[in-house]
Parts: sequence; C-alpha cells; structure tokens
Amino acid sequence: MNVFRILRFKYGCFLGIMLLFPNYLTGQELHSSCSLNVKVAVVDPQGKPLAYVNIGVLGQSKGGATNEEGILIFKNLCKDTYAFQFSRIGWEADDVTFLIEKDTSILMVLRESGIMLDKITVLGYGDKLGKNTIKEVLDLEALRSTMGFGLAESLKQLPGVQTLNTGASISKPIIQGLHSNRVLILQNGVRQEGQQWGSEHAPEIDPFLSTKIQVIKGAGSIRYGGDALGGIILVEPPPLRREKGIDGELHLQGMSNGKLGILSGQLNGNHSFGNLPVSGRIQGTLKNGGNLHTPDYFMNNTGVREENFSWMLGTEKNNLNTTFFYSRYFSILGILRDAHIGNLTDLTNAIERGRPLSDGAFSREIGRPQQQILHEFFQWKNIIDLQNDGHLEINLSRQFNRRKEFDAHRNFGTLPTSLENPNILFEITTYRGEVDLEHNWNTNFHGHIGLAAMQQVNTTDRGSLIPDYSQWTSGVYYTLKYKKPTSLWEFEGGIRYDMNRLKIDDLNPKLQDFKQNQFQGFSGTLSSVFHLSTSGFLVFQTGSSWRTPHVSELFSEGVHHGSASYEKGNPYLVPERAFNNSIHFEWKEGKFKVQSTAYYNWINQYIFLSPQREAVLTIRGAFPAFNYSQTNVSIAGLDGNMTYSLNNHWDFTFQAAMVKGRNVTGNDFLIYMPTNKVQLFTTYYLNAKENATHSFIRTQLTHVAKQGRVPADFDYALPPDGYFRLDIEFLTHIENKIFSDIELGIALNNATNTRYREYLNRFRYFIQEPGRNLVVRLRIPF
Amino acid sequence: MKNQFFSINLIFSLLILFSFSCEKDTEGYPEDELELITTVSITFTPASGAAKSFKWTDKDGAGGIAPVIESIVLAANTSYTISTSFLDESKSPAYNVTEEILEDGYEHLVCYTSSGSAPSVQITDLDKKKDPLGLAGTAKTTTAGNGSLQIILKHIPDKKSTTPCSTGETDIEVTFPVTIN
Repeated sequence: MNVFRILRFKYGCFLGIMLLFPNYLTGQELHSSCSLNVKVAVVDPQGKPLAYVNIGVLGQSKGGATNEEGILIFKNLCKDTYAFQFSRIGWEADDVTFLIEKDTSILMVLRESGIMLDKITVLGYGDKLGKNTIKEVLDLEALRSTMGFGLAESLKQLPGVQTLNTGASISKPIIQGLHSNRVLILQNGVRQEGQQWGSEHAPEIDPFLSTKIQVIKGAGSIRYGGDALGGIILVEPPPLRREKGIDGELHLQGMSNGKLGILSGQLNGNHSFGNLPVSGRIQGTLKNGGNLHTPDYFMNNTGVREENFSWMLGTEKNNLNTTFFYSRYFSILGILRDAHIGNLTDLTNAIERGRPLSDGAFSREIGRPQQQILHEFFQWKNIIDLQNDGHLEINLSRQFNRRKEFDAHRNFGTLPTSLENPNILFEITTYRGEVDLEHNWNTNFHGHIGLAAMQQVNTTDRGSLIPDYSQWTSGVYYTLKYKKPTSLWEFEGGIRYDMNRLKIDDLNPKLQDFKQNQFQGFSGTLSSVFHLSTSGFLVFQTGSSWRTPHVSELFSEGVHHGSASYEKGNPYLVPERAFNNSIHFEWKEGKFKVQSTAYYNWINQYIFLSPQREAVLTIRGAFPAFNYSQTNVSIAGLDGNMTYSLNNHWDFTFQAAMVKGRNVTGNDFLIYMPTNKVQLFTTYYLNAKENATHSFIRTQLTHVAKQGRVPADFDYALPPDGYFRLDIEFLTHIENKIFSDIELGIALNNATNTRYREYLNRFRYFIQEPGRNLVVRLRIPF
Repeated sequence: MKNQFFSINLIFSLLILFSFSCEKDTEGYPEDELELITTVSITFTPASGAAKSFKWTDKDGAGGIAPVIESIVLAANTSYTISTSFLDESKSPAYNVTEEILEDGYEHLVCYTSSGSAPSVQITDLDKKKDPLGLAGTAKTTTAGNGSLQIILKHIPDKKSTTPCSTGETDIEVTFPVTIN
C-alpha cells in the first residue's frame, strides 16, 4: 500500500516529491509503541544520494546528518506524527510531516536553492535565506504573468510592495513606505548601482532574465548592505544547465494597450571540454510599445523601447565554481508631453484641465521629453566549496550606467527634433568587490563573515542637476545563525560597519567647502524564529540601519519640470538612521494559509523635501521652493494575505496592506505614502491545481482607498478618489509533438475600463490611469 | 588540458571584449549649449519725446543672485508704442533671442496682463499665419498711480482658443512694477 504524496511549496511550485511506503522487507510484525525504525534517504532530482543533509525532528532531540549514501536512520520512534526538517547549505530547506505507524522508508527529493525548472539543475549556490529573514518570494507563475510590465509592476503582486509611478511607463517599488535609495536592488547577488535616487528613475533591470524575485522587508539582511532602510529586492537569474545538451525558452507577448510587443528568449547549454564542464546561457529581450490610452483619450508620447541582452558562462572544477555574468539593459521611455510643465501657472492650468488638450492618437514615435537609459553589468563570481566548513564566495563586478534625459524645453524657437543633445547626461561607473566566508561552527551555528568595497565615479556631462563626484565605500560584516533541528527557536544576529567617502570633483566655487565628505557607522540586526507548531511560526526582528545622504540631496539645485518646483540640496545633511521592528507570522494548516507582517520603523534625520515659504523667482515665473531637510519620522504598517483552498479547483486569497507615515517633529503626515489597499483573488483550476500543467481562470479585484493621510498644504491637488479595478487572467498549458509544454496566458487588465487615478502616480494631476488592456503571452520551452 | 583552458580563456576574453567594446567614453561633450533668456526688455516710445526701456534681468539663471527688476515709470495720459525683446546677457556680447521668436512667430505669443494703474497693452503685430504675436503693441496711460505689468512668453499656444494665454507652455513669465506720474 503505497502512499504517494506530492508536496506543494508555499507559493505553488513543486519543491519535493515524497515517497512514503511501508518497509516490506523487514516484515510486518507489530511493534510495541516506541520501537519503530524510519530510514530516510535523501536524493537530488537526478536520484543521486545527498550526503550531509541535516535532518531534525521538530520539538525533539532526535536528528543528525545523512551519510555518503544519503541515508539517515531514526531508531526507536513512537507511533506518532513527526515533523522532519531537512536542510543543507545551498539547498532548499523543507519541512515534511508524517504519521509514522510502522517501520517506514522515506525518500526525500531535495532541490538546490533557486531551482524552479525541472530540466535545469544548479551550477552554483543560491543565497540561502532562512526563516529568520522576513521575505516574500514572487512565485514563478505570478512573475511570468507580470514581467512584461517591468520589475516594479511584478513586485506589486506581493502584499508589502507598492509602486511609485511617473506616468504609465516609469514605475519603482515602494517597500514599507520607502523607495529609491532606501531600497536596495540586487542582481545575482550584487547591488545595482544605477541612478535610483530620482523618483522618476525606474530600476534598470530586465525581469525576463530572472526566474526568482524576492523581497526582504526591513533591515533583514545586512550581508547586502547597511543602508536598506525599506528593504531589499533580490533578482536572481536561473541556475545554469548542468547536464550535457541544449535547452531554451521563448517568450512572446502582445498587449492591446499601446500595441506593445515583447520578444524574449534564452538558450542554455552545457558541454564538457575534456573533463571540464562548461555551462552557458544567452538571453535577450526586445520590447516595443506606442502611446497608451486611458478610457477617454490617448496619452501622447508614452511609447517605450527596450533592448536587453545578457549572457552567463560558468564552470565547475574540484571545489571551485566560477561564473561570468553580463547583462545590458537599454530602454527609451517617452514621458507624457502634457506633464512637462513650464511654470506654476502652467501647472495650475494643467491641473484645472485634468486631461490633455487633445484626445491624441496612436503613435509609436517617441519624441521629447524622453529618457534613454543604459545599464551594463558584468560580474565574476567564484564559489569555493570548503566541504563541511562552508563556502567562500568572491564576487567582482563592474557596472556602468548612462542616463540621458531629453527635455521638451527650449526657451525659444522650435524644439530640436534630433535626439543628439540630451539636456541631462549622467554616467556612473562602479567597481565592486565582495568576499563572503560561510563558516559552519558546528551543526547548529552557521556564520558569515564578509568584506565589501566599492569605487564609483559619476560624471555629469550635460545639465547641472548633480555635480561630478567619486565615491568609495567599504564595509565589513559578521552574521551568526543558531538553528538546532530539535529546537522550537532559531536565532540570527548580524553586525556591519560601513565607511563612505565622497569627493566632489566639481569646479563650481559654491561647492569648494564641501569637497570631502566622510560618513561612517554601524548597522545590525537581531531576529528570532519561534515555531508555534509544525504548521506555523513567528519571526521577531529588530535592527538598525543608516544611509548616507545622496549627492542629489546634498548638492542638487534647479527647477524640476515634472513638478514645477525648485529643489535645493543641503550640504549640511547628516546620515539618516532607521530603527526597524517587525513581527511576521506564517501559518499553514489544512485548507488555510496565512502570512502577515506588522512593522514599526523609526527614522532619525529622515531626509525629505520640505516646502519653503518663499517661492523662487525666475524669469519663467515663480516656482514653489523645496529644500532638502531632515526630520524624525515613524512609519508603521501591516500587510499580509490569507488563502483558503476550498478543494482541488477553487482557491480564494485575500490580500491587504496599509502604511502610516508620520513626520513626528513636524507633527504631520508624510507625503506619497501608499494608500490602503485590499485585493481578492479567486482562482478556478480547470484541472487539478497540483498538476504542473494546470489551467486556471483567476479574477483579481483590487480596491484602493482614497488617501486620507496627507500633509497639510503640501500637494498641488487633493488625493484622488478610491477605486475598484478588476483584472482577469487565464492560463493554460498546451502540449504537442515538437514542444513539450507551451504556456499560454491571456489576461484582461482593468477589464471594466474603469476611469481612475492613483495617488502614487506623480502624473495623476494631468491624466487618468491606462484603460483596458488585453495581454496575450506564450512561453515556449524547448 | 592546457589547450582546453586556453580555449575557454579565449571564449571568456572574447565575450568580455564584446561586452565592453560598445561603450565609448562620451567625454568631450560641449558644455550645456542650450540657449537661455536672461533678460526681458520693454521699450515705451511716446509720440513725441525719448523712448524709455525697462529691464527684468536674471543673469545667473534660477536661484543664486536674485533678479534685478526695473520699475516702469510712464507719464499719465500718454499713448505709447511698445516693443518687447528677449535677450541672453549671460553671453558676451548679449544675444538677441527676439529675432528667432519672430521667425517662428506662429509658435509663440507674448501675453500682457496689467493691473492697477498700469495701461493695458494692445498687440499690433502678426505672425506668418496672421495671428497675434505680441512683440509689438500700443498702450495708453490714464491717471497717475501704481500697478504692475506681467509679460508672458507662451510656447506653442493655441491661438484659436478664446483664452490663448492659458494654453501652451510658459517660457517666460515676469512682472514689472509700474508707476504712472
């Protein structure tokens, strides 16, 4: 009598296949209640035995590691329910619960971290984040259905993430009420050094190159930096192919709104040169879209182009695993013409109108204003396996970011049609080096010690928004984790010291007194996990992080045409320091699955744009003036979701988020804090949902409330009304002779063509949000 | 073995070369060469007597040193012809932008708004499409007193609109204090 169980991981991807069957060979005689033997064999997806896998029994002192054959035998077990915990560095940890009634053999299939696709195994070790880190992983299905809209829009699926938009084409993630330089983005473990400081600067990453995106909330992982006040986004490309041969996949997408088309593909290969195995991948994405439309009119000049390319090459020999990774992101983004404002009078006129002057028409042409962004990333990653002692990882990288902005402004005469001379041109080149040593003190204590150093040069070739500068940062950290398989508690702590030297290379006499800036400080986290039972756990986390004022906050000065404001930096700013506290709860029992995070973050010397009484008088008229200032703020919030699986066919998920930001010193609210949001997802599976090739129809009903928590006399217009939005998605898998499994997705976004405006869109003064959009997408693996 | 490593090194080197060869340093760009308007000058010419010019100047652009604004002083009960010009005085010699505005006149409109005792301005010149342009005009002062005159240069206004001065994009917006003696 075999019991065949398929386990579903948290978000629906298959993690392990479990075979549980009675041991016929040792006979069927009855045992007394506490003399049962359980043989546990652990293998990888290819069936090779896995040694050194720690297996513990929750709440009991039993446990150990598997031997060379991947086997561990538990003796003298009682007739009871046991929660086995499997863990090995570099491999996905898993918990499985069994009712043991007789002598039993268990075959456990473990997968390496980051693995998602059946055909591909890992080359390298993913960053393993335990339960101590409060994180949310975007499941692959949700990622694939949204990646055509960009990284931030994909992340928006998660309960704790919202987006700050500039029109329909620029979107950046907000985590725990914070964005831009307070959120770190890591590409394959290296922090992205782009131009994230501007609120209209979108992340420079192609979501199609990754199969795993996760968000770490709060100051969760100091390994990645001590300045992630809001959170960290990890974008990880899939592991390289390990077996000989070639595979690949092709993505085709079309969207009705903007007549946008996407073509993306990748090719993976592995070949042995003698006894040296080499794995590689090339990947690329092309995107082309024209003017988007709202229910009532077209938005002029909102087209988009993207041309992205990446490759990865790696090999493994003895204990060394080395990988080269290169990615190049290039995009041209049209900015809504009607949002480019000459002065405050124009802004008042535009807000009064609330819509473009004309209904516009469809066009693929992208004129001024526009942005052209290039981001190049090159990484050389080495992992040395120190056997039982852990791993040594050495990461070297170079990044180059070029940002061109073309204004629609010229003080007289016709607009230059050529795009040869941008009004703003920044180039930023960054070299980073990181060394991380993972050390296993014993089976219960795991430590990481690491060093990071960075050198960065920014040149402002056109425009004068920020000066030329060079920057050097260095950091050192140590983290220690305690996890005993039998204990209900897990602990992790970390401390980090960073030093940041900033040198202004500008000849402007006003800046001469501030040429050298140096900032330094400690950051740290402490977290603990408490297992309530086999079905749920709590995470308590507290930490402190700090952030150096950015050059733009220190030295920028000028008119911001998107918002008709005059912004002035403050060279006397000091670093801001955050104190993050959160409690996270996860529970999975029967048909229910719940997760929720509550947080309270305090930030001392929070840097923000403070409105000034006196407007700045210019020849273009008077502009409201904003100076970078500092204040103490508190940001508190609650987010989470709850899923009820009625049966094999129906799933209901309720998701909600709220954030409250207070300027404590000024006794006022903070501007641009996310609005209360609730979502209801109803999914009907046409076949069994555990089936890897399942088909479903999902409706997503979103309600966003009107923002009531706004600062007094700060904004140009009142927050827009709340709204409901309905999205419908259909997904199915097609099998045929040539391609084994084609994924077809059809989605209708904003299905009811609702007219609405979003508080977190900086162009809400001028324009509605986009109307109905039919998305058809195909994923063809081969 | 050696050969294999060599070939792999070669592949890596080629890929790295390929990756970076497309990046050229863009140094050597000229400094910000977009034109600027620093000065609005308005000249009042009475039927008899000398013409008077008044300037609104901000040579260092937005921020920095505050603009220098001259007061318009005119005689009561007098008719004037007006000509307005826009200059870039940050360059030496000063660059007259007015001619370029005149050339693309259909894309521009100079609007005048007066308050208090300041005289209202009637536009007398037309662009190539026979729509008002506003670089030239007339004004007639009445009784003595104080007021202000606002001059707005609009870019791509809708000249067919009933309120053309509230359309288009504002390139220049300055206000002169006015005294009528």
